[in-house]
Amino acid sequence: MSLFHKVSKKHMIVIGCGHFGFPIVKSLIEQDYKVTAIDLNSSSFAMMPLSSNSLMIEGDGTDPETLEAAGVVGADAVIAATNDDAVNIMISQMVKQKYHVETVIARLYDLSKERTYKDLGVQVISPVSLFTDACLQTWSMAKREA
Amino acid sequence: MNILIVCESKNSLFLIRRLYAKEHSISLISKDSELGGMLAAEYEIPVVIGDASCVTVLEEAGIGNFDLVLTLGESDAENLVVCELAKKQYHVKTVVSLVNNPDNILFFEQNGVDHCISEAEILASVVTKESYSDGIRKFLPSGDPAVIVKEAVLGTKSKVLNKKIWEIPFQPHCLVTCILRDGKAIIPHGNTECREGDRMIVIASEDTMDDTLSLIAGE
Repeated sequence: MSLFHKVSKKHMIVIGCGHFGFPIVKSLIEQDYKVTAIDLNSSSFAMMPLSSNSLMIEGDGTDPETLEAAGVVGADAVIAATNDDAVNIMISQMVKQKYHVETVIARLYDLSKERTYKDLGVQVISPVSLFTDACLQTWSMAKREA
Repeated sequence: MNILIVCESKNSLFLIRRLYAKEHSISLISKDSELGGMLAAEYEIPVVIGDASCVTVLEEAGIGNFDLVLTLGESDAENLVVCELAKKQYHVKTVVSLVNNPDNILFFEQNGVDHCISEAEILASVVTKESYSDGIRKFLPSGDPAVIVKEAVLGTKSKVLNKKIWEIPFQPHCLVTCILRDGKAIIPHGNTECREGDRMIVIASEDTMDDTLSLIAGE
C-alpha cells in the first residue's frame, strides 16, 4: 500500500527508526523523497541507504530543538513511528500545533491506548489492526475459493 | 483535597509523606509494582499498578473524582498525555506536571497543564541569580576590603518595602546596582519601587554593608 503519491520532492520527517520506522524511511528514500529521520539511538541508522536527500539525526523527537534541527518548520509530513504511544501522541500534537505541519500520522503501538489517541484527537494508524484486517480478508477469500 | 499522583520513582515518597501529613486524600498510579505496594502498605492509600497514559487505568483509579492530578514521571510525553486526559476528558480542576525539558513548558501550559515544575529551570535560575554578584565581583580589585558586593532579599519586615529608591535612607558609599525580580534583572533608578521578594545586588564599603543589608532584609 502506498501512503504517499510522489508529486515533487516533499520533505518527510520520520521519528523512530526501529522495526516499524526503518522500512518507511528506506522506502521514502528509495522513492527519492527528501527524508529526515530522527531516533534516540544512532545505531538505528547503520543500515540506512545513503542518499543526498536524507538526513539522520540522533535525538529526542519530543525536543523542540531536535525537531527544528530536522527542519520541521515547513515539513510536508511527519510520521511518529516510535514504540512509545505517549511519545507519538506528543510529537503529533506538537508538530501540528506549534509547527503547523499539515500531514501528521502516528503509529499506534499498544492497542489498549487507542482510546487515548482518539480522545486527544490524534490521527493514528494501527499496524496491528491493519494486519488483523488483512488476515481476516485473506481468510475469507480462502474460504470462498475452497 | 483529593489528589491523584502518577509516579515511578522512589523520590515521590518525600512528597507523598508531606501531603499525607497535611491530611490530603491521596491515590497513586504507578508502573512500578514494588513501589506501589510499598506506598500502599505504608500509607494505606489506594494504588493502581499500570500505565496512566492508558484510559482504562485512569478510569480504574477513578480519575474523574480528583481535585488535583500530579504527574511526576520521567517521560514528558507520558506526563503530558495523562494531564491532557485528566483536564480535557475528565475535567479535573487542577493538573500539575513535572517537565523534564524546560523547552516544553509552554507547550504543556497551552495544552491544559495548570502548573509546570522544571527542576532544570529552577536550578538554572538559582545559578544565574548567584552569578550576578559574582560577575560584578570580578571587576573589583581582588582582596580589596574597601568595596564589597553582596545580595539581599527584600523580606516582609524590610524597612524599604514598597519604597522608591530615592526614599530610602541608604548609608553613604552604598549603591544598589541591580534588582532581580521574577527572573528578570532591573537596573534601578530613583523611582524604582522595592517589592517583597526582590533580590538586591548591593555594592558598599565594608563599614556600611551590614547596616545596608539589615535595612533591606528587615532583620
